Amino acid sequence: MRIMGKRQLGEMEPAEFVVAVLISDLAAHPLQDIGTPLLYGLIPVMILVLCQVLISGGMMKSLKFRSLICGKPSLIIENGKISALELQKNRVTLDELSEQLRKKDILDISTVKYAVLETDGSLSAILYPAESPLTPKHMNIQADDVGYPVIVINDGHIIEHNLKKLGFNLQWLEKQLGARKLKHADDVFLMTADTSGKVYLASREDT
Amino acid sequence: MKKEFIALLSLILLISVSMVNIHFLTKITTDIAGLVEETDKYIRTENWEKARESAGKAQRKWDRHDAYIHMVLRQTEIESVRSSLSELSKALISESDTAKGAARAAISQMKSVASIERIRLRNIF
Repeated sequence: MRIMGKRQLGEMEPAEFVVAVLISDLAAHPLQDIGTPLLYGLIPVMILVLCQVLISGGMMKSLKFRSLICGKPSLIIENGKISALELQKNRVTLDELSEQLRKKDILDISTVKYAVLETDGSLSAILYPAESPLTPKHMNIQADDVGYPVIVINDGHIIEHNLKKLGFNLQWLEKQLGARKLKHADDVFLMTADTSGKVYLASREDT
Repeated sequence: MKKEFIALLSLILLISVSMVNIHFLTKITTDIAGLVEETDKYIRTENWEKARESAGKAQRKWDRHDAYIHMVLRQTEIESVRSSLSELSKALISESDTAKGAARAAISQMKSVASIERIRLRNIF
């Protein structure tokens, strides 16, 4: 799975899912039958993984190849109108559409301007502007810029490369621990920090 | 692109190794089948000494490649070849009439093993 790329099961394209199922079946066969050589499982698995790498590489390079392998997203709702034809083509029932929308916390289908059935089977929905959640931009409020928080201490272990990435050093870390009356990194269960210097710390005593 | 290039090279390498494997396995089984055919000829002329010698050579050749054969063939196929060669040896020791049949069975077993690995439509489908 690592060679094929980091994907969750639900995010897999149909071709990737088929390859994953085939790999698990091929790998299991020599393990179940002791009379079958391991090579009978290993070689087909390797060939499938290599083909998958080549196919995914081809999909990255060519849009035509990508649409041939993965298909195209379908516009299920366009300008608030449900397309019965697209629903039929994708074998999606109205109940399933409502279910997918409810999972996205959309209870009223009339608030949806566009709904797209993605190639991995998930549904993306865009609401009418009047129904969209309020953001600071709508209210003309200047929002504070937040950095990306990364883990600096994980279960007592200092992750130095994350510390370096943030532009901090061990002295800064000791200072932060001292400010919270902690002596060692071992006393910390989790500590995260971002580029702005904002720190979240959970000591072992807190957990 | 580097990942795809490595994948393509590995795929070509795997296919090449598979081809070499098919060629090597075919050579071993054809050689053994040839030795058993030789045994069969000696049986027909009732030259039992030569027949035993030839069958012994076939058995030793099979045993020499035992580790490789276990890696590339199923246990059931290995067992059936072993038992047919062993039947042939037994029949040759007793110089019985069943020797001819045992030799034919061993030849067909070898040919079957060789044909399993060949790339043919009937093997694929």
